[in-house]
Amino acid sequence: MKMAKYVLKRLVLMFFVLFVITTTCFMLVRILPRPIPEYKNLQEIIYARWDALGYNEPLLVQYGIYLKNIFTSWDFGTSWYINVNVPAWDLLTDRLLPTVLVNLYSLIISIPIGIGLGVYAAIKKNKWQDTVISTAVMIFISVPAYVYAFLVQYFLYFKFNLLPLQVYSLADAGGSWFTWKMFKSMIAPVLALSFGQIAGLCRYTRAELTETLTSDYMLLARTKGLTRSQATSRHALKNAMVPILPMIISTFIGVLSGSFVIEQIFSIPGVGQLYLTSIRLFDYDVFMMDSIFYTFISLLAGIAVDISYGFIDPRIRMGE
Amino acid sequence: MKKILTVLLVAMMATSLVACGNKNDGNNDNGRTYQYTYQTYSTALATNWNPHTWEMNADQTILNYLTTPLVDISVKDSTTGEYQWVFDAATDVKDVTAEHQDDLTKYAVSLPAGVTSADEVTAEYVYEISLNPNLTWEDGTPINADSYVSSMKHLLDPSMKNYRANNYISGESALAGAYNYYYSGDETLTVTVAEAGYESNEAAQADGKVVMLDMWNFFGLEGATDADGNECPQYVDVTDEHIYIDPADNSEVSAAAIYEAYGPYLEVGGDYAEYVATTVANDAYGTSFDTVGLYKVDDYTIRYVCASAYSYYYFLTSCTGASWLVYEDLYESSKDTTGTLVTTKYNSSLDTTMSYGPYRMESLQDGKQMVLVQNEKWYGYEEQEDGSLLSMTDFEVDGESVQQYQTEKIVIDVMTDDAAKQAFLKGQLDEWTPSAEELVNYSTSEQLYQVDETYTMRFFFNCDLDNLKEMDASMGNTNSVVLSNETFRKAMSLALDRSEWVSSTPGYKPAYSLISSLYFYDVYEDPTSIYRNTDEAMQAIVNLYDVAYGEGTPYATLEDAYKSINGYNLTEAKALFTKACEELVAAGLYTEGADIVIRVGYKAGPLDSSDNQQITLFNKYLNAALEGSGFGKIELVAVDNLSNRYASVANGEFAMGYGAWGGAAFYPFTVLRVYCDPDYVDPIHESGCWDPSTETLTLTVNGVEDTMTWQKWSTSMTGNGKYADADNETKLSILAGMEENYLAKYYVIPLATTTACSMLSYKTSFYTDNYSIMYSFGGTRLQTFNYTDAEWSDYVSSQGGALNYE
Repeated sequence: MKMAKYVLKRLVLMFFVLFVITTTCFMLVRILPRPIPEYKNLQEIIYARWDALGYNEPLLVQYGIYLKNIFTSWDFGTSWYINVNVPAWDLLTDRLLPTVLVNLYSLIISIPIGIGLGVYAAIKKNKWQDTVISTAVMIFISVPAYVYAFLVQYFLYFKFNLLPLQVYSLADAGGSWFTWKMFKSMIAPVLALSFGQIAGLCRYTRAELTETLTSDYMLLARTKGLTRSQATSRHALKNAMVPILPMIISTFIGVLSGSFVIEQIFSIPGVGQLYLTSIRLFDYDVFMMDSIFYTFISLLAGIAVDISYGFIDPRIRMGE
Repeated sequence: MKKILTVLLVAMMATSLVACGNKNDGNNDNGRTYQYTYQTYSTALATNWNPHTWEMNADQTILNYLTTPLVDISVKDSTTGEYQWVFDAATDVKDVTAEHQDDLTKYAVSLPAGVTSADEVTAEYVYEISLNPNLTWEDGTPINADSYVSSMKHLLDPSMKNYRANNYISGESALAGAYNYYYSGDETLTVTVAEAGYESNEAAQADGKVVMLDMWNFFGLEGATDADGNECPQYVDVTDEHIYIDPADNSEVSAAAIYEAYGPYLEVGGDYAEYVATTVANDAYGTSFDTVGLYKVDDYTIRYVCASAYSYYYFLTSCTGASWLVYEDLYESSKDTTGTLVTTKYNSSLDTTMSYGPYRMESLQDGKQMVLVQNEKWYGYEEQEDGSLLSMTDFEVDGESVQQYQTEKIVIDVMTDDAAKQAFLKGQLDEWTPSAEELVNYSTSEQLYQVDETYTMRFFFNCDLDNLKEMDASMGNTNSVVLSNETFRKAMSLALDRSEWVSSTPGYKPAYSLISSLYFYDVYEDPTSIYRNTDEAMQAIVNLYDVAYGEGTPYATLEDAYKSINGYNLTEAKALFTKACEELVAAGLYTEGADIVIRVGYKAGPLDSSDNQQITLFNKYLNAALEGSGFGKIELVAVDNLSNRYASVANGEFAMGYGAWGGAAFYPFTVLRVYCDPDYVDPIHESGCWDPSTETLTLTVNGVEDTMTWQKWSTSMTGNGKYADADNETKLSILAGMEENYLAKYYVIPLATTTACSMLSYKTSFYTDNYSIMYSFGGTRLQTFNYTDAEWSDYVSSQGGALNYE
């Protein structure tokens, strides 16, 4: 009951924050000066279009109409530039799959490798293996993903011709996102995304596990006769997972938001690319749709992480 | 751990299932095998190739593949650069004004200056276009006169506010009656007080009219809001005291306060009268399409009645490129209404696209890839035994009929320029546009195609003293008031070593004049009629730089003197800076020895190393000339990522800007409108310096002195202007006079003309390497292939998988 109350409270707060951010985004984007053609006859046409689209109404009226359309008809507006006259919601959902796929593949690679390396480094603490892993982790965490993207493109495509330059189009990959050809073309961006995630998970796992391995109950476990690996896997790893699992959950939800830069570099027609294009073209409703989406995902990830603590470790209680 | 992985996999599978049911229309293979594929790229894919609404260059490129122009221009003799008119969607275009003078009255055209009756007009108004009866849509539906007439009706539909209607409601090629029909949905029109027929604002108010101030364009309040967040409308009653917050400085302003402060300037006849408006009843409200001068003669003939005089070859030129034709059924069925605006999805997706050009759209993935293939229904193709389509020109190129549209398939991928370079070098792209930095490596490549553009890069100023003081006080400038001094600006111009500058920044050629050598004053009759090479144009620049020629001078002829000019004179620049310093100190505007910092509105995007190199050189040249002049050091600071730096300079946010004007290469007599006609360009980039609608210029025309405002001079040689019918010599003398006098104000400093550079793969060749402004290198129509796709793949492999173009 307390948990339900807590969740409800968080959800209410989440929608309140979503409303505030949505309102702010709406106001800010609408008061930004819109690009106007320099030729006067074109200006007249543009002004007339804006007038017909209601852009000259007071901001609060425009916002009221916007909210009303969302709540009454799930209408998040229309794209006027990226995909003429297509509902912003449809545009977003159409672009979601490539983003999710690339990020999901990246997670599937990152989680086992990251945790595995972290466990290994913790077990080999202060030995050369730990030093090598920790140094590599520092490097991979420090370097932004787009640097890997360029390196991956240069070496795996240009130098050694092992992978395609970019993610294939559906036409080139056989008409589906789930062909081997398409998967192969996604390896490069997946790699570029994974380096940082692997390093992050590895560092976190190593830190947590190192602390757990030196706790009293581990000594007790060993004195009971468990081997080092038995004690580590049955006791230390389980406890170390308490903070790691929420991190994985938040990353998992976060995959929906994708990576702006990686999508640009590898020409992935996903939501990140859509967001950047909507800003460049002043496609208001698409920008708002994307902003709401990203905000919602971020807030949801926060709640999911907090709630997950309670499920993972029964000692942790919410709302008390 | 196993459980977590299981959850992840299940989620992935679930997503997969959802996606599998939502397969995209990526491949629409029709079974044909293509041998000649042209692989190209774009950083952003076209999104709207509707001929009525397209806005971006990428859109226009697609439109050119999908449409057949009424008329085209192609190569006649590639060695001499001779061109020819090619009739495509039209079979003939005739001037039939003399036979249809009644159309001039019927469609209420604007008669030439001094002409009172349509009976006196025998040419340049009514054009008869015979249509190609073989032209069809890609589904086989015939295209006839009705198609063109109904398409124009859609284009001008008052409820749609189509963007590209601008080509037909105004400008030289305007269609008679189109403007009135386009605005026939508006009950009232907003016009200036003078246009409404009042002698003063007060008289209008006394007559019950609401006199309104253009808050956006006069005071830059677009986007301003009141305390409740309500946006400031464009027009506000001049008596309205409602307060808005000026986003520029957060000050509180109202229309009434502004009107009170600038009252005399805003009166009828005042400097800023154009910003005060009132509403009048729209006489054209409810006008029908019958009043528009485009009508069907028979099934394959239409007549086009121009709103004002438009000579035959210019009319032909306006018929090149995509026309207004749309496929009516699809256009109608794709319509939707948002607010009060009717829109259509026509030509914005695969499903809503219909071609009548040599190519049709085969597949489209938004934001990713577009594939075009030969349109089997295009009238020019003949199917061969192997299933391929062959088309030969029905005109002679270099004395023979040659194959046209050899390219069978065009693939446009979205990719960054960096990725494009790699793909190009691996033989997977057939063209690539190198950046300025990379151009150095390919400058001697046979595959590099360089095209001089009409654009003249220039510094332009806001030299209004009050604006400059404000910028010094609160916008990051230091002593930018020096720019208010004409001598200082002239010294700046002479201090710049343009020849060295362009050698350090590839992609440019030095410019010493406003109008480049790509402007032709009579290109249709004389393809060598370059304005810049005329005596009048050369004399203007010789006068500007004060170069003497003739006996007792180093230059025997005008041409010698003109060719000696390089815009750089360090000695004179130093002397002028010294003089400017004395003038500014005497005026109390400058303290001797003080440093100068001026922010320059430089670029819409981010600065790159080439830009930084440019600005470093500018600073070097200026400081070299300032040495010993009494001025301290000067620093120009380039500011990037500006959405509209031109307006920012005009509005007083920057004292200097860097940018270009170009275009209209075939009719230089209208070029100065962009500098002088606020009804054409708004705002004029240099409007912080002057008001060309009130400032006058006196020129001697055919021995007679004539005085007009700069704005009127700029429109005097077009449409129904005073000198529109004058001979070319008269027009040349007027244009040269304007150019010289305008440059002598130093509101702008010409720096360089631009050059577009692109690399073409070994796989394909343009028809000719000799560029012509009329037909470029021959275009897609005459492009040839040196390898089939398979041969090319083998060739690239034989080169180790990477090609060298350096």
